[in-house]
Amino acid sequence: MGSVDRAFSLPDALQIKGNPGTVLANAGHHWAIQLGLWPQSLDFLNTIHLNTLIMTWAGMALILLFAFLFTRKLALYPSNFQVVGESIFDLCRSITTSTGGKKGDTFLFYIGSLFVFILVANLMGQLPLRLIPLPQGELIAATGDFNVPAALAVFTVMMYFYFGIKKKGLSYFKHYIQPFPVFLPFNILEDFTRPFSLMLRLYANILVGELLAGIMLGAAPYVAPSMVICLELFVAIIQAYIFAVLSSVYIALLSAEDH
Amino acid sequence: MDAAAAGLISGPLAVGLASIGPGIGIGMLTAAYFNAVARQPEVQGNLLIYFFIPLAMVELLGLFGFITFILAKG
Repeated sequence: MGSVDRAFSLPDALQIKGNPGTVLANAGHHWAIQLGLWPQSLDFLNTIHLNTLIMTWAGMALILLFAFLFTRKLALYPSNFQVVGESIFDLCRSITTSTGGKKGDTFLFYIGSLFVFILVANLMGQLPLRLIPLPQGELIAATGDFNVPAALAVFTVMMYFYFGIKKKGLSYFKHYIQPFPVFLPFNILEDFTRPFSLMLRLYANILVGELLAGIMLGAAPYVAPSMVICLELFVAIIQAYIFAVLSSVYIALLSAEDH
Repeated sequence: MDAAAAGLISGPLAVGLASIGPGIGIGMLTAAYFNAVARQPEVQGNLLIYFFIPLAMVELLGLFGFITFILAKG
């Protein structure tokens, strides 16, 4: 106990074992392949998690398919598909207008795609895709992998920098010394804690759900996991909403006019 | 207590202890939200967004405990 190399071995820690010889949940394992593209000093870029890649691309394909279905025949008296699409759009728009007011429409494209992607990626984790055998790991939700929430959080940081600088020009950087110049280190630190907290919240929530279903499988098969899955459907929606709301708040906050 | 036993206990203990604060926090937050909605039911939709943002921040503290659990268990 206590040695660093053991403390950070995530894959072993996230394997939940049932009866001897069976593994109930395997959320920390990924189907990793190595690419030789990058030099040794950038070795972490060489590893690709193929199961996450599959789930991400499948999620994107689903989104594209539904976006096509929702917008195929637009009419004043909408069809059933169009009503669903419009209500999703209205939900995304309510997020941006409640945080950014009228200017919210300028970053609606980002918040909307963020919300829809995270929602689909979270919900796909509850499909029984784990039954598909892979060489390593399982097909868990794409957001249950550390890297996907991290990438989305970094996108949010890039977006609030982009909108802040676009709105205010170089005077955007004045907010680092507000209200007093003493706050400079804290304001710089905030640029790192914001994406970290966004990433950790989404990742940990989805991962807890994946592991909890495995633990409950050991406790009472069929009954207990289905309860957890019902809870997880709720958590998936809430987490997508929270991620979108917080991103929207950050963008609106940092591109707001000074008073 | 030997090191292996301490390693087994420390992770669950971290989760349990880290859940106390967020539990109280979410309770207070929800109570305040219900009070506000009971006082003025028409603002419920507007308040929801102000309910979820602190909720996410409070919840993160509990998740720190879970991350500790993962790291300590190995």
